[in-house]
Amino acid sequence: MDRVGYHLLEHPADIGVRAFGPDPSMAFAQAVAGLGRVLTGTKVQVLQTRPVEMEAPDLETLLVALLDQCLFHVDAEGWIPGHGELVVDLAPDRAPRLKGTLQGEPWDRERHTEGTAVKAVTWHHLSVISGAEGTEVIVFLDI
Amino acid sequence: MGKSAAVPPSAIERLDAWRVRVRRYRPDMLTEGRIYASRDLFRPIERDETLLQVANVATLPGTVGPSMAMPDAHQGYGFPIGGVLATDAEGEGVVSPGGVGFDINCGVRLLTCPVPARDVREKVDALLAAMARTIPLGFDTSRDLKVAGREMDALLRDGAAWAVSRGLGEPRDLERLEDGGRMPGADPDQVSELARERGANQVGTLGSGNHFLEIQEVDQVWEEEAARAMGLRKGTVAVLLHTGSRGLGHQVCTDHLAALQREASKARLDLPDRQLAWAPIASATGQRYLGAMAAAANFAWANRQVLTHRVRACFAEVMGPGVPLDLVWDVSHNMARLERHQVDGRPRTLCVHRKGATRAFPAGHPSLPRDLSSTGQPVLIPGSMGTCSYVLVGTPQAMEETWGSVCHGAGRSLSRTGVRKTVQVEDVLRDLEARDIRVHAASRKGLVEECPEAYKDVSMVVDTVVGAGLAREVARLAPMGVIKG
Repeated sequence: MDRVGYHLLEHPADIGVRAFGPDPSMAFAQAVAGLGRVLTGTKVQVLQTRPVEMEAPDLETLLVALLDQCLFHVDAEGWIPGHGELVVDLAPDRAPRLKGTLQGEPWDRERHTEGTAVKAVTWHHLSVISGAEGTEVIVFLDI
Repeated sequence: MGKSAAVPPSAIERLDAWRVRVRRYRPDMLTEGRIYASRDLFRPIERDETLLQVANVATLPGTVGPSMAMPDAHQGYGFPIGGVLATDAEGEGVVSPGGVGFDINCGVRLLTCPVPARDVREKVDALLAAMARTIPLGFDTSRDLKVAGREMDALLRDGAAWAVSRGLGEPRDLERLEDGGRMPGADPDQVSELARERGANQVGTLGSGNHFLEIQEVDQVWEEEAARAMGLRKGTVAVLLHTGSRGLGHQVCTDHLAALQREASKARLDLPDRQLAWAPIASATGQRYLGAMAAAANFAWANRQVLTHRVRACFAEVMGPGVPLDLVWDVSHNMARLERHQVDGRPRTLCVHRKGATRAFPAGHPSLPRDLSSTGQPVLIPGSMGTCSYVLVGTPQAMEETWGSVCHGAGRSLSRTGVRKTVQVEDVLRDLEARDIRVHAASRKGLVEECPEAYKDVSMVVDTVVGAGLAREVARLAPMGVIKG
């Protein structure tokens, strides 16, 4: 399967991201793109990068940690990630790891007028499902 | 019965005009559910996952009394928004960050200004312009106030008192804050560097989402004596502000939820929702969360205190010096608190989780300041943007039934994406203008997402808590100007 992309999902108060790709690395990068879309209301430009490297007991926790680091950059330095070049390492007998770069731009008052600030990444209906068709992730954001 | 399946209709029983019971239909439910809702307000509650979440909350160990939801309830994460649950803090009770939420001590503060509303109405545009210039909104940060290191430790320990001691408020403000604006047990050491960095530039900022600041007129008073004790007079001016602990609080919740998840998976707990991870109150993990939560709550109080200071400066600039803005009260509607309550006729310490629910202590409660002791605690219920807000007062019945808790606002009825499909920003602006309400918004999209059509009717929500005997109406506040975060 070569489907790569994301959709925004409805929730009574907030918003979700369903992202997909041929493998967890691509699906996770699409989740970052979905978050960037929520934050800016538009496509985020690639002007700078930030390194990302983490480990978690399972893929769901790894996804939450990745998006949480994105929110850290937003609050602490006004920097909006919108893309990722990520490698999710799924070696057997070891916790999943992720390494790569986040790509994005500083928050822009003029261009990002349709954005919504995101408070946090939730565990509500959180899922990462991998199969022969590729990987699909679902994550809801607290607005 | 699967844990993610909808609550079966046979488990739902209407008790009276205002109350609905959810029976213990699943073996993992330790208590039943109780929803406060009129028939009209119950319809949207049935449509989403609110009832399932009420049932999931009923599985938390050490639960005392039912798992409750208020009339403004809607689907949240773990707990429903509008959820109330008490656990036994002297026994096996647990604390769950899902019962507090990411925005720890998100809350509402009401200021009153003894000036005729007509004198302010002509200056609303100037006031909004001054506020928009000096109060950071949306993604904006506090440019003139960065708090780090030991100063952040002091803020996390002392809350609103930190701000007052730095000249950002008046000492008498502290008498009109829950816990004096300084939650006991705050442990700054449990607040991570990440959380501190996220909050460093956010003291005195409004944020976005449903956060707002309103200039209002007291347009209706039902209980004169209570209103007078609170400082509210018909035809005068009030300012309502709604915000919380910003990025610092969100990160505290995220960090401790991750720690609880690790323990839950080690203990092989079968949680109905991972957002409902919990720890026994008496455990080291539970105490670490409670210490961090209290520190984040103090951050929120400091934030609302600095915002108050900035609002006062704007009033002084536009209205001239000597126009007082006195604090009526400040409620938190996202919090877990250790409180004394009567359980089966005996006093007991409970951990009361209020997730999108407001504390409503009645007259005579020992925590009230002397001048409100015979009135009761002001309960601040903001309407949706551009609609009326209410000031209520709690009743002894609320103490018996809901651990002194009521609703927290209107409650959403349409999703953010849903409302954008049906409402245009021009319609929102035209409607506000037709009702002579001035508005300044950080984003046009936010203006649509927070429009009144996206919310339930706050007066119906208030009717339910009043009808159920949980609160009485004291005054109503009508908006003149809105700043939308």
